[in-house]
Amino acid sequence: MNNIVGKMLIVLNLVFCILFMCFAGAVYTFAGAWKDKALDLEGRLEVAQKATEDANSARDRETKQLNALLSAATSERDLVKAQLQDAQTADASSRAQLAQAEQERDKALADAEVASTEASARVAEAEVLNKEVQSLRDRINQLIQRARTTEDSLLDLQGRLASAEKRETDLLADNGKLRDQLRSNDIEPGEFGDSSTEEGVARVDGFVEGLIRNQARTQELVQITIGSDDKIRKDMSMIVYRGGNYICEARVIKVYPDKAICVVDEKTRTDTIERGDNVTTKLGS
Amino acid sequence: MSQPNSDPNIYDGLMFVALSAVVVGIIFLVMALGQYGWSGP
Repeated sequence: MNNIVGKMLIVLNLVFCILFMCFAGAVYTFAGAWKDKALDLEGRLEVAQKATEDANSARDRETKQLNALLSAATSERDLVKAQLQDAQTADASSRAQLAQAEQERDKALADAEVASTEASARVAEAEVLNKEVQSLRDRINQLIQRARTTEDSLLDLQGRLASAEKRETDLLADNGKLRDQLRSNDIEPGEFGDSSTEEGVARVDGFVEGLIRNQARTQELVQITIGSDDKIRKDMSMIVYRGGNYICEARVIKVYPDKAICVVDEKTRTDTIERGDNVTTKLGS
Repeated sequence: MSQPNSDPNIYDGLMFVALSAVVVGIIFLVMALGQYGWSGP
């Protein structure tokens, strides 16, 4: 029995020893591959670690850059915000100015409309005035034509007056000649005349009641306080004096019962006639 | 009283082979450990 157990133990010992040898051989056989694999894995691990470190450093650099960019972007954002705020403020002020400008524009438009309306009225008024000016011009032209006609007639009358004066001079000369002939024949001129001579005129005194001069101030009319009731006749010669001073003579041109109008003979004037001056038909008693 | 058996039998050979296998296995292990820079004490 002991032999059998011993033998079995010997066989088991042999089997285990052979298994140990096989396992040891296997370990020795595959240990090289495992080592290469481990070395390869270590290399790859180092490469991966290096890559990781590079990636980390790159990430850190990028992080720094991104932080710098972030800070720059933040400052730029703040600047842009400030600019935006300024722009909003400027926009608000511009809007206010725009509103004010629009109000001023509306006001100016209203004023322009009022001015336009007023201008239209002025234009209409100017047209009316132009028509009136045109009519006045026509009237002036007519008056000028009339003045020319009047001047022509005046020249004609002056010519007729000159011829009449010449004729009067001739008649006076003839009268003088006739008077001389009468005196040469011992006949006094006026001997057979009427009673209306200067000698038959009684002295009548009056006063200057009014004065008026024509526009050219070449002729002066005098209104006196004596008339036909005082035997004043047309073409009588009146003497104007003041106190003891002789002023002028005046010829009666219009007679009324209680007053008469005389025209002053400028050739005889020695002073200016005033209201209240004395008038008489002849000096002396 | 039994007489000692002086002749080696098959089991002695098997024991020899087993011991040889152990030795070879130890050699393999030592060589395998040597690849990892193992050094003895």
